[in-house]
Amino acid sequence: MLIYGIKNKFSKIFRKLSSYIFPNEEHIIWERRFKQIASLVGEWIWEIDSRGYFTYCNAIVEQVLGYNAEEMRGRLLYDLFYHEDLTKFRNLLVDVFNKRRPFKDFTARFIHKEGHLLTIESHGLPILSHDGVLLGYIGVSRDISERIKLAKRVAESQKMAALGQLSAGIAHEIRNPLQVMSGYTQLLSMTEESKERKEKIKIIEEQINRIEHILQGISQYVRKIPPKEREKVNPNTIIQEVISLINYRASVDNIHINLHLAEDLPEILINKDEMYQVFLNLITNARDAMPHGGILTITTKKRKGMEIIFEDSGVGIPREIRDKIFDPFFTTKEVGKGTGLGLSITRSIVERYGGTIEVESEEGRGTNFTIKLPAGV
Amino acid sequence: MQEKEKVLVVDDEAMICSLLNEFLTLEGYQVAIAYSGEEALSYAEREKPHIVLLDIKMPGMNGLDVLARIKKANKDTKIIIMTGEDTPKLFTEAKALGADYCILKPFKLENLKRFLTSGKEHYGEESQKI
Repeated sequence: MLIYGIKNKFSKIFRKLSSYIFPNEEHIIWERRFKQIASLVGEWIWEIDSRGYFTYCNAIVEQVLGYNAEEMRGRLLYDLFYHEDLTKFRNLLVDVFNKRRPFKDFTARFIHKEGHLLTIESHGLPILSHDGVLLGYIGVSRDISERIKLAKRVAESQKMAALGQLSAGIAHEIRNPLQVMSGYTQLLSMTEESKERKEKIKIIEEQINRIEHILQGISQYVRKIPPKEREKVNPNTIIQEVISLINYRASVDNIHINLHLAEDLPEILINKDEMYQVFLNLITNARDAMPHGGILTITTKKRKGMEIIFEDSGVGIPREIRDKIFDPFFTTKEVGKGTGLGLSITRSIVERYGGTIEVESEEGRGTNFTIKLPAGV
Repeated sequence: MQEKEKVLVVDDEAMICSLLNEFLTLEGYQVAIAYSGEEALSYAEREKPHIVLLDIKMPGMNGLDVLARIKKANKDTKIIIMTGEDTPKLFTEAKALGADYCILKPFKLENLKRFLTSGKEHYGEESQKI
């Protein structure tokens, strides 16, 4: 009995010890699962402790930040932040950590190992002990610098287009009254005899000329929006590039993207940035039309020229505003959410290449935008 | 005495019409005014003006449509487009539809006079300078 008791006690101690030294089988299975998943996912997966030191990163981190997984271990998260953002983000994260809250879409600027700036978007979940103490966070991050850059370029060209539309509008409104002033002044000077008054009329004429020069300056400035370089590109390639930029975002928003890209689609001579903008505008609109998720189907077809169709399963466009959606500054989005220029710019780009864009929509069913480009663009 | 040349002025801005009316009358033309594209077409059909001074942006039928229809009915009518819209695209479009001249507002009455009396060779002179 005594012997049995000792033996039993020993074996208990042994089991306990061995569980420290040799993890049990379930642990091993879970570790294998995790490692395999972590290596499959093309995202940077990480874990930090409660003070912000990295305890784990998968191999992808090297593609993102330049440091390999080993170099990351023990590194402090805050040391990777761009110094200008440091205080703001540290305070923000400390607050999140204190409340042990998960975070989503946390965007911060990081410094790459080689010194350049990256914009990183992260999602994280707190790791809590069974008694609720924060042990750290585990999460996923990705480099969205390209997406941000592209968005900036698009915003920039939208701004220029807005400026163009606005100044053309103003100039036009000013030119009419200016014509009347200028014309009557000229009529006056034809009939005026007094030398003194003729002098004064001349001053008015000169000032009218000055206004006209200002108007010309505005038109020239607007027209300086740089002439775009064109290159031979297959639109399928651009669609795929845009999709790769927004795919992750789309999956977060529960939007499934189907691509039916014609293999025989010819290359066309276009400016890549402009086509990016066209596709991005249409895809963004489709996303906004599907706030609860849905399906976006993008089809390319070789016709006389080609057709590119964007079909969403969103809320549709009410009939009464369908005619207005291509008008500049028309928007149904909240103030500050949309400029009202997306579709107007989209159409002007498509028309610049001799193409057309048409819309078909059914409320509650979805919307189709069809771009037709002629052969030989 | 030689019969006066008939000029039709088409602009929705009344002050532009009065200005041109005064100037052209001084210059010895017989002037008619239309404040819209529709009015212009019915006058043109009835009176067959020699020259039409035509604004582009008007409520209702725009100047380019008026231009096309007048030229279709009578290609000898001289049409001078006067516009406040400073876009080369518009000038090209107007030319393609058969406009004889395009002139950007505000223009010098002197220049208008030159276009009223000259042949086609000066097309787009005004547009060249922008």
